[in-house]
Amino acid sequence: MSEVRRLIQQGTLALAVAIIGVAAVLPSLFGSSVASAAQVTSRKITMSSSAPGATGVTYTASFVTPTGGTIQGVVIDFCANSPLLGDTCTTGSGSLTGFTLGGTTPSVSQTGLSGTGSWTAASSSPFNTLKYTNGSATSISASTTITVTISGVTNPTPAAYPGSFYARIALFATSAAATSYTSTSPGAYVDAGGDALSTAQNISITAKVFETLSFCVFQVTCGTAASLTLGDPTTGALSSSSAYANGNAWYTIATNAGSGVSVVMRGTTLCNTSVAACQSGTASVNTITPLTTTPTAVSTGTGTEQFGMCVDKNASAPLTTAAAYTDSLAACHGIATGVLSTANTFGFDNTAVISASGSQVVSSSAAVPVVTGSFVFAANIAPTTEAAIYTTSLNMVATSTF
Amino acid sequence: MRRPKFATALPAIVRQASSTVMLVATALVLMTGSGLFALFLEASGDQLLPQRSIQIFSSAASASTDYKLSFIIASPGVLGSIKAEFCSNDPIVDDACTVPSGFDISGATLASQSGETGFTIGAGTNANNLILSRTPTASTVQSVSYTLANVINPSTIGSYYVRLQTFAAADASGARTDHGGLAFAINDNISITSKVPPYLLFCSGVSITNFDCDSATGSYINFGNFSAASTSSSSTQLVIATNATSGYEIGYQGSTLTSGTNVIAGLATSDVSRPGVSQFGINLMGNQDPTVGQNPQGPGVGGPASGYNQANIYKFVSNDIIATDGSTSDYKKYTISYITNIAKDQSPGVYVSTLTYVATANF
Repeated sequence: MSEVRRLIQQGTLALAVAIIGVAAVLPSLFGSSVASAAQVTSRKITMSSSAPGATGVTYTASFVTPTGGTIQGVVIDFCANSPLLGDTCTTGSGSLTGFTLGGTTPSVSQTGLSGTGSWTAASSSPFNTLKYTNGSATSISASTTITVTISGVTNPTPAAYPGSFYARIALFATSAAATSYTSTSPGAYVDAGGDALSTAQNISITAKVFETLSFCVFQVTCGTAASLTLGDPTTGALSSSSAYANGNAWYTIATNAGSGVSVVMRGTTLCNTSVAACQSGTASVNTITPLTTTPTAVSTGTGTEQFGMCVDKNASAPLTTAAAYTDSLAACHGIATGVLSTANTFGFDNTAVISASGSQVVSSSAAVPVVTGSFVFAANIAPTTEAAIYTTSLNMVATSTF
Repeated sequence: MRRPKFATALPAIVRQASSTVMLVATALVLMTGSGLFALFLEASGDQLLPQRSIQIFSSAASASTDYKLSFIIASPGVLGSIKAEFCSNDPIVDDACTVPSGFDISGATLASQSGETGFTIGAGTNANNLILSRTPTASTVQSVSYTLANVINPSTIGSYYVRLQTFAAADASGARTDHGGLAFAINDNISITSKVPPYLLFCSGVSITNFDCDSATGSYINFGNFSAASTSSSSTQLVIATNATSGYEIGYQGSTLTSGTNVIAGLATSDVSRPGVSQFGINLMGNQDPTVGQNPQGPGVGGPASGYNQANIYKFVSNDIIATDGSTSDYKKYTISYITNIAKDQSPGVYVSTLTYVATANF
């Protein structure tokens, strides 16, 4: 049904254009009252918004008057059905449903018309016809480009699309003639022309950006659990004469949480898991004594039990490494796995690590783009460190606050 | 009055502005139970819950752990229930939810709550939906948190999502009041293994510098000519260290000084040095009679065994234990003092003894 209506409307528009064209060639067709009228050229009406029902819209009508002389009135008449002067004008329905110029005194400005006197805009219910008059206006030259700008227009909300509607533009030599204008009896105008406009539905675009937290701890690629050997690369054994490091626990992190992310570590220090107390991290023997919250150069502590970690945030600006895990030498970056001979500093907040809340290792106060860094572990043993296989399983937990 | 699903993508200021327009109605509610009238400001509706987070206490796959939900009540008004839906696909409320494999919150208990309280685990809670329910009560804008114990993590590592919603009704029915999405990650633990192999460091020599066995020199001492009028003495040294949990024992084997069938009697019982009496003995102390040896040195906590741990008292019994430590031992250096006395009728000859020191670590 709407397709039929659309075709009819298109046919009407085609007919209107055809009639306007004929009228330009044969002005006599418009009746005796307009025997000397010509068609305004280069006419257009620009809408600041074509959204149906949009308010506060500015319509800028622009045209060139072919006939010079005194112009004291301009009428722009908006109709749903036809751009032809003298035709019945349909308003308040169809493609002009809801249209209004804003009231009895529309906000209008102009260029190209006479600057003598002042121009007054008027309209009446249903506020589809602008009568713009100036009884003091003097003559203007032929081929003058005139613009009439109407502000505060409410676009129509058409019953069907396309929402084409029309404007009839007429120029009058006297303000009285313009004031007397009606759609079906336009009176003696100097020049005239029709225009077509259309509302169009806006393009609505919806995109979802949902909360994200990507955090992966791995050894090679995400999905490969980090299983590290801390000690001699061949035997896997620690030594009281050398410190060892392993930086093969990698992580990637990214979040769009506006309040940032916090990564905490839970677990124990290296411990002989055959000792039950290891599970709670409270064993005093059969553990590798952890470092403290004050980062320490492990390489200088050979012969002393030490276990610690530092965090390489890979120079990420949003991320902040917790103090206990900050390497003051090289920001934990580039530490080779094997014997540790450089004075990189490591720490381990054992009290927090074994607690339910864990020990914060890295954090941010804002969103974090994808960062790939590493957790680097280091250990020493004393000559008295009990012979055993020491293990730990450290759980890294990331929490974002959105 | 539901906000479109894309509301989560809108800037907060836009959401605030739109919701403020709706903040217009008040309702006079008759509290029939108490006979009091209360004036409630109706919730403005479907705002984004600010400062929302989910803290999981273990991120290990399939772990049974605690989850802590925290957020700020966005819209004041009646609050009767909070729903948390766990999904593996996205946090968008009203989207189809893919249930995370292995995840199960149906057996959770509400371990603690703060802010708006009085909630219990509500009906409708299942494997991936948690409903906290209470008698609908007015709420205020404040921080709240709820800790759930015994939640089973998803069985696969990766990112997961929570769709939080608040409702005036106690059963999470009807129009929601506010909502918000959350994300959390399940990860593999970092496993670290280190070996500390067993070791027993033990060396002997006439002289050892510090505790460096590489510096040990000599394995032969010469008393020179014995005299019945004075005591002959000399010393050797041992260095030991071990990480054996039960420590070490050092013993010795050998005979007293002999020359053919002639013997200088070993001290079967501890005794002082007695010139003119046939004696051969050792101890591990610094002695004054005669002046020989030194007390044990080093950080190890072990020490000489009974019979060998008194200055100026000597003993010689083959296979005796002369030093022990009951636990792991750091470096310890023992100096063994040897004394020899002879009687006036001691047969002439070259007297020789070979002693073997044996250290045994008890792991």
